Amino acid sequence: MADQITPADIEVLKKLGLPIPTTTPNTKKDED
Amino acid sequence: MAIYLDNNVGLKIATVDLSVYITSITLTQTFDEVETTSMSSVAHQFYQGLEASTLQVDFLNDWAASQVCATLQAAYGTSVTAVIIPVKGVAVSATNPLYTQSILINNLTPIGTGGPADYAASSLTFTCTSEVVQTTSGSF
Repeated sequence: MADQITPADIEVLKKLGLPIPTTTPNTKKDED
Repeated sequence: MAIYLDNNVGLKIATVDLSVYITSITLTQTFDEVETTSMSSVAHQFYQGLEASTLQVDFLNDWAASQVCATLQAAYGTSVTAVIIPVKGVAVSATNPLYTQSILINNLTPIGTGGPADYAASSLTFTCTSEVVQTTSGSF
């Protein structure tokens, strides 16, 4: 599944100059 | 019953809430059908293959900072997270689940479409690059 916030999401936020959330609303992990 | 008027769907792309610019949204869950027909079959047989879902969104173009056009342009060429909720502002639950998936931003109409009497709008279909995950807890 997709994590709630991915590195690609963070890059988008950086480009937009928006703050990067320090916590994610959904803590489910995609690690098997 | 848990039916909803389709006027308060929430959509976040890369955590940016673009809900107020949506005029139509369709998340289509689908997967490949892989043929497994073999001897003695009397009809074509198929098993589930890879998921191949799509997210279709009609946006009103807004060039303001951090809104539709800036967000999609920043995400262009990458797979980012899209989170959808049927009724924004209502708690996530079994009757108002979240749908989370990665979408590849591989097409944009940056100046929008429309004529002199229209607001510029974009009708975009994104391919999901993950499975669509439904969750009944968490927050939008």
